[in-house]
Amino acid sequence: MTDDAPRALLVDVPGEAGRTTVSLVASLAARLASLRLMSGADAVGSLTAGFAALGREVARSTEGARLHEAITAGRIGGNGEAVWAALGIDRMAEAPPSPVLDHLRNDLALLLADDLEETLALLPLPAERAETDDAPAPATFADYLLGMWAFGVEVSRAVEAIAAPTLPSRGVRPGGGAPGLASGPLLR
Amino acid sequence: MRVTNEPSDDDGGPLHDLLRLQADFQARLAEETLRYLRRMQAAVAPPVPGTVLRPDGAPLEAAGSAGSDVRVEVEIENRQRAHCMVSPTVSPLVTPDGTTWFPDAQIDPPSLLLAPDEVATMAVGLPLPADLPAGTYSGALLLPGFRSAGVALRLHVEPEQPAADPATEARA
Repeated sequence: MTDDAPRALLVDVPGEAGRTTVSLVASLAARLASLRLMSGADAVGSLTAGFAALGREVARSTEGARLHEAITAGRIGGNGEAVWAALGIDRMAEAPPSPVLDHLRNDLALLLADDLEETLALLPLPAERAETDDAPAPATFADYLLGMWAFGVEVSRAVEAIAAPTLPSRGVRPGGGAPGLASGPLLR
Repeated sequence: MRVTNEPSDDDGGPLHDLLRLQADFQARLAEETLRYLRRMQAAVAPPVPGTVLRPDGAPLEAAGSAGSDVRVEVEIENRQRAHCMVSPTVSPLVTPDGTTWFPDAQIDPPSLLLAPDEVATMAVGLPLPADLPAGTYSGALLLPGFRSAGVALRLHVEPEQPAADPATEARA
């Protein structure tokens, strides 16, 4: 740590219960339960709108802005928007955007929680009411594609980060460290 | 929609206008109904605990001459009761006269997985192009997914320093 580096704090949203194992389990349970009450089109529309919302946010960054420009300038952007409009994906994506990055980070935090077992024993847990976004911006193909990219990068980094503490080394393992490899078709 | 008594080429008479008016009303009604239903859907959506980024007020500041590399550091502290993933990016940087620079920022490490109460330092390396106009560039370190605008970033760029002449140095 340095003494003079500015510090930024990650805190809970004021007025909400915050990110605890209980609230994360309740959120995941409510998300799964809501799938029984909505159509597949609504669920996919909400996810599509969520990726597009993430893409709009990422487009404010240098890398995101460059990628967004590249997507919209080429044939990909034109074809994507054409499919988007012709098949009605734009209308489907008018659903409330799902906060996909929050979901990913919250589910990741659950995997790392040290009190998960006790919390699961408390199910069913009551869930808080969600925040509403009255006027989400229209979802475009370019925003959606950029959001998918950002989500993919986050998944990749997250998996690497949670695997890092127990990641086996690349060195030599006496006696064979990969069961089935020697007897498999690859080395026969 | 305008209903007129004036005859026109594509006019089918008052009945036609009435039908168009009715169709327009039905279309608007369907659109508003869908919007209402979507708002209802959002109101009963499952809750999603989130994270707010709260900078301590001081912007990230650095200075350097064009052609050099500058580096700023920021400490991130997780005050939540669950692990949190942080993946910052840098916004385009803009001078007061409107010059916009898209930096090739190197963030080290590119992502952090912070345990509750853990503090970690991230470094942002910014190679300043040799032809970058001098000035004060403002932007932000953005953290997508968090409910905040990011950490302010201010960079003072001076004109490129001319390379020292070896002959002059030898005489000195």
